[in-house]
Amino acid sequence: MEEIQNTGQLEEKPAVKKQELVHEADAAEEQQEQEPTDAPVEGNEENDDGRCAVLWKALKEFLIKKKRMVLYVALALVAVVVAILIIHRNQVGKNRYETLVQTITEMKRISEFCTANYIGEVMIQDEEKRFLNHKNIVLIVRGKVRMGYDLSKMETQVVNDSTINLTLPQAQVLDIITNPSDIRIFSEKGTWSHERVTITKNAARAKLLELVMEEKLLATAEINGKRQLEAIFSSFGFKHVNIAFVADTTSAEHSAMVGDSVSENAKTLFSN
Amino acid sequence: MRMRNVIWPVILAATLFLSSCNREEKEDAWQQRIRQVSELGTVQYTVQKVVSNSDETWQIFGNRKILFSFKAIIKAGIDMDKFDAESVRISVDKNHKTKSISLVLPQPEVLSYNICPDDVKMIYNQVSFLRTEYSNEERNAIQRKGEMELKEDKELTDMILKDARQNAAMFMEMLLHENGFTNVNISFKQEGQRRTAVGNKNTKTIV
Repeated sequence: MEEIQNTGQLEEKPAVKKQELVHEADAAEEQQEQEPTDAPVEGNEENDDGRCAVLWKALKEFLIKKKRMVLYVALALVAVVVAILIIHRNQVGKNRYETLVQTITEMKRISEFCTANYIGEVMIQDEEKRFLNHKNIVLIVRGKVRMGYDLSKMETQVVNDSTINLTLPQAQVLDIITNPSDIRIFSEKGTWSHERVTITKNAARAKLLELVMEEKLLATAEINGKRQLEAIFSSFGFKHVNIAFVADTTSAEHSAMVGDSVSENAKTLFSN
Repeated sequence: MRMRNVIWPVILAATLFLSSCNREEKEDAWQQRIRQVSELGTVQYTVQKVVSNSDETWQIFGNRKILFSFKAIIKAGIDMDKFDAESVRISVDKNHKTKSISLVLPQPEVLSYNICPDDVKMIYNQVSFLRTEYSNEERNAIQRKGEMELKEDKELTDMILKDARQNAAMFMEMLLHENGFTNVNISFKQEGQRRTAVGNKNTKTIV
């Protein structure tokens, strides 16, 4: 039954098939007409993808190569700079010190009799505590304090050929010497201005003066001075040398025992 | 228990030992610190000095320059510890009732250089952007050089000593005249120098 039907169908199919084929052909023609415009896109995309991949790969390789080249070039540059610095430093590198001016501004006659020297060393520290910026400076200052008399204020009275009376002012501090060669910067953290360090150095001088006063070294200078003047005037033929010191009632303050050449800062330490 | 019995006496002995050592050191150090001197200062010079430092070490990064001005007080005179009392000759003329004295003073010397921190001024400071500021140690080194230069300046020292010698003679003459001596003869110890007589009627000073 199927076969008969099939034949019947078979007889009908070729016509249908023809029509289908015609339709297909038409469709194919239509497609072909369309294909010229669409066909390249589909083909170039595939080509571009391939090219990009190739380019990207090439680029990667290039970059890798260039990275090394850049590294080599950078190292070469650093070497050149260092060489220039070394050569330049050897040729030009100078730290020049010079004296521009030196003048004598004052000459004066004095009559100071220094009878004792105190040599001391003090450590002085200055610090500033700030958030994230802690500054600290430590100085070691070695100083000399010269003590004695101002002989311009000395009065002499000859009693007879063998006796002389001397009246002297009290012994005083003549100088506090803390030169740059006596100062050592032991430690310095942070930036310290010249003015601020000067205040620190003056504090060290005041400390030295304080030590002299505490130990009553002026009394030692006085005793020594008395002995020496007795010896000097004895050599001038006076057998009896009487030395008296002017009793200065205001000299209870230390500032009165300090000579004119001592820093004002040191004087104010004691006057306050 | 045995260890405790041993440890405490050892600690005590060590403490005593160490404290006694410290006391001796303090006394010795103290004696070294105070020195008896006999210096007659007769002249004071005030010298103003300006020093500069130009740092071109790392010129590729820029320069830095600094200028300091400081004042130094220099005192000179005679060290009376070197005065020989045996060199003093006194003669009395009873007829004319005059007293004469001759003595030999030691040669003058510089007694002190004093550069007060207040007298050291930084008058110029220029630092390139890429350089660091002068540290205080560097500044101190520059000031120290200036101080050393001053001390080694022979011409200045000779000038100061010449004045010190003249002033010392004048001081002694005045002192001795005030104390009854009519004729005063002052000379200075020879140290390879020619003797030159500089005198007036009653005073003869040989320098």
